[in-house]
Amino acid sequence: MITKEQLHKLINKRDVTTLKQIFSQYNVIDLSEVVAQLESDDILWLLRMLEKNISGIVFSYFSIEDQQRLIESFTKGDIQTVLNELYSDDINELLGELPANLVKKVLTNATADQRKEINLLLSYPESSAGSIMSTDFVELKQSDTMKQAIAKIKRQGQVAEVITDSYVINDQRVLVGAISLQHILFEDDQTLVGDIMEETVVSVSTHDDQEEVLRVMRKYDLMVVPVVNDDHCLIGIITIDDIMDIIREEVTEDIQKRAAISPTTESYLQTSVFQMTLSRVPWLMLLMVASIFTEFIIGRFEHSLDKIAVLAAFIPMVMGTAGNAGNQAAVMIIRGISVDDLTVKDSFKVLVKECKVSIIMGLILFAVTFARIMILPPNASLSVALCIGLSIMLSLFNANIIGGILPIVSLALKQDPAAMAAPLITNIVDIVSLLIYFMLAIILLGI
Amino acid sequence: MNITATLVSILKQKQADKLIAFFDEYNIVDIATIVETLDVESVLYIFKTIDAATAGKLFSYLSNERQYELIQKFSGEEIRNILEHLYTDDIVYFLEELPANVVKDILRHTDSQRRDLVNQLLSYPQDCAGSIMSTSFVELNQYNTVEEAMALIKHAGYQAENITYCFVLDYKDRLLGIVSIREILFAPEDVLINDIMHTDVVYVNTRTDQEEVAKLMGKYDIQVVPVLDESRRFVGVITADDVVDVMEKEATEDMHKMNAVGPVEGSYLKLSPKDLAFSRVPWLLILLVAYSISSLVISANEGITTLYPALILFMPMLMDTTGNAGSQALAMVVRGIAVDEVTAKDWLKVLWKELRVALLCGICLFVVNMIRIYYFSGNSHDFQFALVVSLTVLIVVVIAKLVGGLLPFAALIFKQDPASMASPIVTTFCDSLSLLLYFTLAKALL
Repeated sequence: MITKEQLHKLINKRDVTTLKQIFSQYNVIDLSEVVAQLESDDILWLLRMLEKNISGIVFSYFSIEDQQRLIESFTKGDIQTVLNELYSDDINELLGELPANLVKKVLTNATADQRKEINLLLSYPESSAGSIMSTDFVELKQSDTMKQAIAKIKRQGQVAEVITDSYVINDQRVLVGAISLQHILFEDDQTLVGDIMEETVVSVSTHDDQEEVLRVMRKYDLMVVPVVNDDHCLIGIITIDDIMDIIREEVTEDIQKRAAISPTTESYLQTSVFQMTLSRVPWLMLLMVASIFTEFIIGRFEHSLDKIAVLAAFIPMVMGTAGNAGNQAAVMIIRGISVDDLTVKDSFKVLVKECKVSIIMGLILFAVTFARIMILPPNASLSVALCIGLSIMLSLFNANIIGGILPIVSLALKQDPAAMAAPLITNIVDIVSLLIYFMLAIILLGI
Repeated sequence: MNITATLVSILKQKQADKLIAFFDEYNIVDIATIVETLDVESVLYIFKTIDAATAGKLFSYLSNERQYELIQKFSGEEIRNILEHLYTDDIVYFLEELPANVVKDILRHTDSQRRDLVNQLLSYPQDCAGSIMSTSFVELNQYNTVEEAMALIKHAGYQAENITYCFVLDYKDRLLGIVSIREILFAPEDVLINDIMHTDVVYVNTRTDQEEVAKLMGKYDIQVVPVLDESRRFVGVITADDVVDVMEKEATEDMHKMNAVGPVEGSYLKLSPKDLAFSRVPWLLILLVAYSISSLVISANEGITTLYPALILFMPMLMDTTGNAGSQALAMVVRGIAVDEVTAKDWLKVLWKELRVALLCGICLFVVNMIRIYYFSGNSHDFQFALVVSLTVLIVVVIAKLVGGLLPFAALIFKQDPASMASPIVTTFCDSLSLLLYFTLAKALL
């Protein structure tokens, strides 16, 4: 691979032939990583020198910071070229991240048509299908012959993001069918689109959340899905590569929420220390103060601890085990909801299953706890060991059910199931576990 | 009438023409979901009635259990028809779950060329590129003209799963380059493929891990990636829709690991209670025994807790806060590594960042805790006591964040998945440490 120094030298010498050769030889994405490290002036010259479609691709692979830096020094012509070459979903993503003054600069320098399209995309709520779709697609009519269809594909395909799938609309622009390029090429020239098109087209609405888009594309094994408005008119498409980015984002968000972190948008290394603290500290504080309940419970049972001191030594074990178990159950349900179509109406099945699971796990844990207390220090009497073993069994039962049901409750309340953060579940489970522990101690040990 | 009821009534009256019309009207994936719930007799009737191509499609969308059940009832002729209309990767996907003797039995019904291909695919380890690739694609010769290429695509493309890219091979099946359908469509008819193909191709090996494939496709924003074998021969392609499933599966696995759940195959509702229990119980047991350290620390410090019983009150708070702080750092770093934002050489940066974040978090918590305990607890106006608890929180948050931030790197060094550093492990470790510190501080200051 070429280095940034070599590129810089070639640009300084204005060696157009060698540079063009380099750009046809190497992968553009690898090249744009190197180009991004150059000075703004060098990049500007390079982008203007290269063929427009290549400079468009190079630009689209820059990080948002680099894009911003370049747009600051772009001329009107540069902006129009870039807008022409970028796919509409890339433009939308770019404008969504730029500061307001630069968005204004881009919009004032865009052509009227470009401006109209951008405004349309910007009007959809964040992470809706409308906001991630591309408006560059191939549209056909039912009355087109295969020959006309190919001609249309060749014409519209110059800008379209996808040409292997075309969509058929009627005069009101209502989506009535879809047809793949494979079919068009295979059929006779005179066959009509309307005769062979697929009439049952899976589509998503502009309002659908991107997670719903992901679910639909996964379910129907799609590479492209059309986006329609409320009147079922075709206005865009979403391609699978956009969805791959979304999966990454959604999973990151889920993992962060689970760990009680308010989602951050930037990557770990780019997020500032202050932002990172802000995303973490509120939850830590809240949960710390919520420990008032456990303090209250221990306070109420202090006299029991005075009598049998060893009880205190096993508080972490009872609490910790229950907390861990609750979160195991929770994560399985949360993933089940986002991947395997687990819904609110499955609550009862989940409940029954968690009960059965708890019985198996509870018996195993009881036996091990009992053995551990008898064998490893600190030891305790037989009755205390029995009491602790039973506490672990019962609090595990409770933890599995709380962990299994809370994400579904969250779903029923139209909240993200992943918002049932591990610490939150731990906290609730802790309270119940301590209660069980002390109640059992009172009943079994007579204190 | 809803779609399920429609199908059921058609089946009851055995209306063949309506059944065929039904399959024309509705999406095959939706129909498959319903067929999944029907009795075997009805399903067999459906397969006898609809045309072979639709039957193949329907079959590929059914669950493994259903497929197995049907295969046992199908005649040799029916099996042959179905297999003929399945993509090779779908056949493999279906056969992978079956016992070896059944596989052999089924493969008897395919022609020898197909059989070799399926056997070849079955020999790749699961989770690698070879096992998820598709073998139906359009291949071209570099000396084809665009016109000839179009003719080939017309012919072969109908069978191919995807024609976005065509693959240019030499006489030994080695990959020379790729050319997109767009380029072929837009080029003049007499141009040679050799002149418009791209030779700098991103490809994977049959043994490349599927997670790597997903990362690569994400990085280069490509929808189709060619798969080469050891001798660099072209053997198949992987399309982005296959990779999406891989990504979801990997994400589930990571999240499970992070919560100390062992590997399980299958969806929650289908897994048996026994499988579920055994995926969860091992780590619980290990951690349960590991809590002995905490127990030992507490009983070793019985002296001070009898003197200041209130110390016990704040144990849960201390433990939870430590665990939470550590898990937060862990989650951020593990995810950063998984999406390639953080690499092994960044450990120092992570350490430095976590240290600063931890100090900020710790100070906030210290202040809130001081106020809370000094003014609003059973031990109000005992400054020394409030200081012991709050100071412990401060120090322990810093330690937990550093442990949580650095453990994933330790996993990397030992060539383990960073996600296997489950947060319960970090929590259990930090819990013991925090108790030790707590009592040491209490002894020193009270």
